[in-house]
Amino acid sequence: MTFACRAALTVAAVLLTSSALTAQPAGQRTPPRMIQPGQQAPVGTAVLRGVVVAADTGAPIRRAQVRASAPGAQETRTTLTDEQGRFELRELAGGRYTITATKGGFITLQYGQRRPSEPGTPVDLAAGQTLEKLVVGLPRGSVITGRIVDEFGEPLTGAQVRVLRYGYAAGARRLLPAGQSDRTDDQGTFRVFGLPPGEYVVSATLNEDRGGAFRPRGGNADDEPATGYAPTYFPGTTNAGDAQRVTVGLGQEVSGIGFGLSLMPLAKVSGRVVGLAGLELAGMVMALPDDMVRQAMSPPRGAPVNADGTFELRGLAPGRYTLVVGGRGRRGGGEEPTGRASVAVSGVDLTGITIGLAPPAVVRGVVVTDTGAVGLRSAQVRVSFTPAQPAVADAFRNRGGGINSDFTFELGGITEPGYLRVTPPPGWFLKHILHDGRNVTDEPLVVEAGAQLTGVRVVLTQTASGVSGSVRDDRGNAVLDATVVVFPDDERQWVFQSRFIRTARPDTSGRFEIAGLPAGDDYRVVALQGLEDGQATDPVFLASLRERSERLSLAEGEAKALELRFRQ
Amino acid sequence: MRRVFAAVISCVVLWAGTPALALGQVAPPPRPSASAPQGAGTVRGTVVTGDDAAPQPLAGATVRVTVMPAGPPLGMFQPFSATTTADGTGRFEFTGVPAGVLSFMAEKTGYYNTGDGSDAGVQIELAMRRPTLEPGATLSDVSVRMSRAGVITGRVLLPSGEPAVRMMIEVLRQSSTPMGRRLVPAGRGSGGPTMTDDTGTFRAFGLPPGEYFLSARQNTMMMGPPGGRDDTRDGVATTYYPGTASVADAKPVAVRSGEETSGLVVSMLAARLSSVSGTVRVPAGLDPATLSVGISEIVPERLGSSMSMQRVQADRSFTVSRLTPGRYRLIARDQNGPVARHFASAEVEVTGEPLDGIVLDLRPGTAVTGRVVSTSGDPVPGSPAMRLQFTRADVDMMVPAPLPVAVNADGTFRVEGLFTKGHIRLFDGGPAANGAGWTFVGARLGDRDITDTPLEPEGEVMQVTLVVSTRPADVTGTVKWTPAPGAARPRVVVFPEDERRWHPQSIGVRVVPVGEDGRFAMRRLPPGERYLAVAVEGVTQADLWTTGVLAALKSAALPLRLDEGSVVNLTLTAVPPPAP
Repeated sequence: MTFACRAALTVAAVLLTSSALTAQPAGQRTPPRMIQPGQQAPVGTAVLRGVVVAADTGAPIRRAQVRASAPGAQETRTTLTDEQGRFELRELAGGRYTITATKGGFITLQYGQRRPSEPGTPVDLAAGQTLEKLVVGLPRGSVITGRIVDEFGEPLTGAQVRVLRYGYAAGARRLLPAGQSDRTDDQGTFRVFGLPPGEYVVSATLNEDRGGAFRPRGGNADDEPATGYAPTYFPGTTNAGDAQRVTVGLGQEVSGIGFGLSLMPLAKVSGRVVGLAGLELAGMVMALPDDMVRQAMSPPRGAPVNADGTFELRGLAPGRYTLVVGGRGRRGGGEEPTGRASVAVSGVDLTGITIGLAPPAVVRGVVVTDTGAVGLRSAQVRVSFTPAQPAVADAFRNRGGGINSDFTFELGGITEPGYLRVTPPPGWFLKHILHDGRNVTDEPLVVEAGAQLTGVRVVLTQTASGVSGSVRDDRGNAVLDATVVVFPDDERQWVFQSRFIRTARPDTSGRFEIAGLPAGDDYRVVALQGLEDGQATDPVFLASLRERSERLSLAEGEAKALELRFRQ
Repeated sequence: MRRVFAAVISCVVLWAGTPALALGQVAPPPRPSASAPQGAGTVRGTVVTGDDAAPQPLAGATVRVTVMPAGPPLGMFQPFSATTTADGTGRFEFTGVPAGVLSFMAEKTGYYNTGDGSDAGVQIELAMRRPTLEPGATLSDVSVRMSRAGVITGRVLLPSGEPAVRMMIEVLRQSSTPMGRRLVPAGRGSGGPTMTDDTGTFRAFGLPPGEYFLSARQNTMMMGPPGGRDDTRDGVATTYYPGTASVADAKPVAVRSGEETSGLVVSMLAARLSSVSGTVRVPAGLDPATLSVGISEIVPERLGSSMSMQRVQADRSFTVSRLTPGRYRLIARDQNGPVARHFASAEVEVTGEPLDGIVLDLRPGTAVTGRVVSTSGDPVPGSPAMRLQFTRADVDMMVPAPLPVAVNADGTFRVEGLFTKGHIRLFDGGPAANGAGWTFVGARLGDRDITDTPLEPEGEVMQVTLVVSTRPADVTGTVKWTPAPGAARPRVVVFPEDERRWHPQSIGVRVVPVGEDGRFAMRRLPPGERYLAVAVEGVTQADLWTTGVLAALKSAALPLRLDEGSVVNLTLTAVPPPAP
């Protein structure tokens, strides 16, 4: 991080710690409430007040959007700051709030956030409490601007420019969209603003539906464009890995980032959807790029499936795609057959692609408690299914949701291996998931097409392990700017969405809490600074943490109090 | 944390869009087979710019050709069209083009299509000169003219003087519509509404020369996040250049060809924001999850409104926040596919204080059934090409429209989902220029003639009889006129003498352009005794509905009688356009 960046964020930190908070001592905290679906949330009486300022000058920021969100209390409230940069949110329920401030031209920041892509400090608000003088200092955003031209050097209008940065998503380090995208104007100019300092990759693409700027060759109606513009990265490569990174400092404007889009051959992919006899083949084939970045940049191309099962996708740029067929899309019935096929497109038309339809699989089971205790309401439990390979944004997401009143559940529309995700009500935790006597809690479920997996038992418990405590430095002072990471020593559990990897930040009273950890005796725990969002699921990163971490074991139902030493 | 997705859709006069909440691009509907139909021809031409006297080739424009059949009124089928790119010398070529009347449209950044006639005033139609292609022929020397567009750029400021970031800027112009003069969004070359950047700067480009109005408004009304509230009170009103909330006081901005009008400053006005909330009354058996609520501001001087839509909450409630004071239309509808079965609407006046307790009472639409008969009363068989449609009397895009349906083989039909009044019509949706030979001549509700009055939905089902003539009339001929450089060719207008049938949805009014050789053809008109025919210069189809135009044409028109099955041949002399 550059010095300027550190300096500005230190200013923000000074503003934060110097604010007089009427913090509540730990131990008198209210547990989060649960709102039943369909019930009106009771009107709370807590109040949050504060001001949003520019981090470098301290000047108030008008019309900044302030959002306070406490998922546990099902509260999300938004407001805009007034002429003096002040905000007030009234009638709040008690809870643990994340406060975020946004203003065009500035970096969106959470209250307590020190670094980009790191969470802020949760604000602990008791019922009826008034917290005032919350100060959020927003650093000025950086700007990247430039011109996009076509293969003739002429300005390209309507190109979608997206700025990307490396970050963690779905358990791995990837290029992720950053900031808002922009479309080039008549001079081919784009301007992306409000960026945090850092290193970025600038990408541009031209979608076909933007003013016909694909380049059709020949004027025959049958002749769909044979060439088009594929996503291109500064300084002009179509391979994201070869892109040159643009470094922007805090509040800096970097101009002259110009490059040309190159024409690429677009191919047709045609074939046939082979269905189960007697089934109606209505619907579309969607071509989803395997690359998450390209997915973010343009909507997926689709083509209808004709009555005889044939389809023809046109205008596909080179790359790998997953072709997905599945009826009427996201809101379609989960019982419709689906199919997928992988293709690699390299500029040449592909024919004869067969996509076999298969009925989706179904998982059935029941939710029980470990002690057989009652007091659990079926309406409060949610069971869903998440694909194990979230990298491909599936256009036909599996549904999931509530369970029946007799505590049984049925999850349909399953087309690939995945995990059962259980959301118990507050005070309850997932103990384990059993099938055929085996503990399958952390294993992906693999179900054959059209098959039914029955006899799944989801066991909930009211006793769970957890850790709480504070982070202190060498002199015994509480450290607020730290992240506590708990992770298992067993590498096989270092997977995306693992129940055993959890992080938390100390709240405004210096206390952190992680509830609902499965019991285990080979945990490790560490407090560190500068953890990026999602970084805790990166196996490479976790391996590097082993040495710095302490051992931790949690017995069944144990709530362990920890005092973690924070070393710089 | 759950995020709120709000779909904001701009509805303009020519769009009948169903708000779509699904992501993903939908492939264009399949075209009728374009494998060279008999008589596929070739078209060649050049894209030019500059003076009419000394045109210069313009490189690199994208050219689209659309072929309309010379015959009966258009239906649901897609007219043939193809796109290509002109080369470095401005030349382009299309092959496999079917016979018919051709129109061209070109696109290139910084230019707009020059229509027929001079550049004075803002072009309403992008209609180009329309040559006719005979089957299998080659047409060369087509000239597609483009002119340099203008740019408007400037800054938008908040009441405090700071730059207004991410405000939505719309460029509007005056236009004649069936409802009178209204402000409509400027042409699509500018890429639609634009947003201010972090310095408050905006840039609107691709504008044909003329006068425009600018409006700046906050990005979006907020549809209530589930379980959440927006408490924002201090906001900014929709402000027109240079800084007024009233359309009447807005100042126009002049745009000249190829020039940049810059340095404009729009000072936004403060406004008190508030919210509107309420519930949707849902008939038994309907799942609230399939319902959506939409809101749109009613600005009488403007045509085309932005609509925000959001799903109804599980408890049937809805909330819209961050509304500036004004008049709004709230609608609720079900989203089961493109046809809405239930609909409700309410108008609210937002004054700056939160409004609660609005009830949107969902009602089912009216179904219309009936049969098709001939003028002599005999039943007429239907076909997939015989399609029934409602053309709306008022341009109210927020009310869902029933989808066109085909008439069954036995001549009966049933269409669902009529919520607002509209003229009922039958049209031929089949491929071009076939010999089907019928035309719609009238509609009856009981013994009431509703050919020229819109049908008002009432009750659950209504019975309507549709009458077609199986022996329609044709009108052909030639027009004599003095071509002037740059002037468009005249159009032939045939219209009934009966003034009650002078309205945009009238089936008795027909307009066709005259070919290069002075010939014209109108096919399949409803037979009738008292028609008038005239050839006139400088009048477009939209102009006909300006008050007084048809009355003025009446005095210059020839009386015309169209017997069943007749082909009338006329020789007309073009008259100048009626004085305004």
